[in-house]
Amino acid sequence: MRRLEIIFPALLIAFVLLVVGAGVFYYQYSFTVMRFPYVSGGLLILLAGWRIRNALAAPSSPADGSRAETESETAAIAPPPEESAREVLLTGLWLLGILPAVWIFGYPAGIPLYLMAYFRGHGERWAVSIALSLVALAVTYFVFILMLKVRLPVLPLGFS
Amino acid sequence: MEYFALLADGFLRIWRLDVLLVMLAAIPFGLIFGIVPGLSGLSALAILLPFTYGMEPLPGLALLLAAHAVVYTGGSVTAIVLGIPGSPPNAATVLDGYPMARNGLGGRAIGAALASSGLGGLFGVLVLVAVLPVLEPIVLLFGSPETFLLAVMGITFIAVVGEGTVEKGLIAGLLGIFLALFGYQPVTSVPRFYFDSDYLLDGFRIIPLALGLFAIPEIVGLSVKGRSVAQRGDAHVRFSQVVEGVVAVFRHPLLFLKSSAIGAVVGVVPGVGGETAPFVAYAAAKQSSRTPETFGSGEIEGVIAPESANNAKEGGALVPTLAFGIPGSAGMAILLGGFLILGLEPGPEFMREHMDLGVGLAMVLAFANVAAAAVMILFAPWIARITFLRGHVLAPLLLAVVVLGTFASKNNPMDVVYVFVFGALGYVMKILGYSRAPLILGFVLTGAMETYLHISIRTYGLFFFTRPISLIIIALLVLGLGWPFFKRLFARWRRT
Repeated sequence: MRRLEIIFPALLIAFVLLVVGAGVFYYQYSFTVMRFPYVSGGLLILLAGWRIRNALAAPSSPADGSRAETESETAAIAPPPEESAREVLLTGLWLLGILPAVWIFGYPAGIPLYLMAYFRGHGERWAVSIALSLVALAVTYFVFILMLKVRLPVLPLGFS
Repeated sequence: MEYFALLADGFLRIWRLDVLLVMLAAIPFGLIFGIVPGLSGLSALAILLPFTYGMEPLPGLALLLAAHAVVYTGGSVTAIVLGIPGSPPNAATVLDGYPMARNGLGGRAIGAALASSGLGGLFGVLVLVAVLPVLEPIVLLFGSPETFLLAVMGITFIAVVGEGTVEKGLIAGLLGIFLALFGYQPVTSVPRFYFDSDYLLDGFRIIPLALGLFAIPEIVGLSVKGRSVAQRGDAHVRFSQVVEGVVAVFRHPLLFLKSSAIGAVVGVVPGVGGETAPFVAYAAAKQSSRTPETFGSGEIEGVIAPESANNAKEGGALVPTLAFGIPGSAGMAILLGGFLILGLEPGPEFMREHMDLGVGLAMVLAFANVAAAAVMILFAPWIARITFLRGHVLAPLLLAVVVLGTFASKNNPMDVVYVFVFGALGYVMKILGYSRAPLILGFVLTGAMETYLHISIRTYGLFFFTRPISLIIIALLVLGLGWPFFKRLFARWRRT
């Protein structure tokens, strides 16, 4: 987690430098266009750098005189309860599964199929899985397609 | 007289069938999001945001506002029954509500919490309605420099007061500003940082950003946890006790009025509202109580105070949102996104042209607060059982709504992909203790800020900030930035 405390602001700095660099060297925007990116990007880089410095200094100097700040640092660095990195990664993959499901099968069929797979994969009974998937199908059709008139891709591979 | 006619018009406007229908749909939605810990009011707003596309302004905003107004009403039940705040601003209610539940007085605490929530919300609306006509001439004193500085102040305050350290809050706010810089620049119309992508020509969209930041991390949390939250407590509530609790609020009228006033005033300060108001009200109630030593062990005054402030602050938070376009809370920042989606820009112009809509929104707030409290008082014993819903069941269903809602907003599959991109960002920010509220506020305000800065420099030159009101705002800004330092200094002074 401590590594992430350093990696995250470092990534922000890289992102800002990349975007501002593209504006200056590739697009060659005028000062009026770049005024806000300079100011906000510059401040962001400064603060993110300060954050990295603090994260690096944290083990050797646990208290810098601010009790409140130390408490919130500790809370931030401590791993979130009950959530291991492996569990989160696995959950993330399960959730991301909805993207290929709707792309391959279309929204009205893809969402109930995804839900069915998710519920069964997490140990729900067949009856519950089928019932909830059918509810999702009904909501997708009646609310989104009929009521809200959303042109959802209904055919596989994004064809409507 | 003209304003009273406007009030009457606003009152009549909410009795339209479409407005009533969206409010009746939004209230249970908001209540459920309040009751289930881990699902915040911001997630509720973010999920509802795509549904406002194509709606008329009043029903669209009523959908968002009604759901947002009642989240904390629902959250109080979980805080009392399980000792877990349904949403962060309910944390102060746990202090005395949970001990009351453990002493067998849970129903009484719930009744008091619901009645003070509903009436507190109504108080907030009265403040809003009273302040709106007074504000109109004041708002006109605010030119581009003042509005620009007010926006900077809003982002700074929410960054300083929010969760995590000040620097993390400021990083989040600046990241929000930076993300809003993609797409057509508002002053020159030059497509900025679009990286030859058609999608980025219009910049990042508020809906994928809001859903990614606020809904996806909560869905991941629910899914990882898997089980239901109601395991260590019994969600059994007796109706007779609920009625006793409602009566208790009327036995403490001064406490109710004082706490609601605190909530409304704290809510007005841009960016501060949130969790601050209920704790300030709780502290004030304890200070003025004849038996302060009983606070924390199940004192009903410790439930009435934070819950009155909780809902009253939303009326206050609408004041800077409508008058200056500067949201008073994170929820109001997403609501501001709703205004923009519906083609409205709150601020001085809005006050002149759409005062009727402002009054209509106040009425929506009043209706939602009273209706939610009434529904909860009648059905509290059953509604509390929602906490038994398992995370494994809730998470994928919410995800399906998020995906469908995102696609429905613009019929663009890329929006769905960006929900997950911003979801990853939101999750990392959550586990590292970065507040996500300043990010959304920075994102929403940047377009107007850039325009106001440009106009200010063109009109008043580089020293645009030397106008009297600007100097006052800068002084407040410095005070806000130095707040953690002053707090430490004050604590040290008290210790010595």
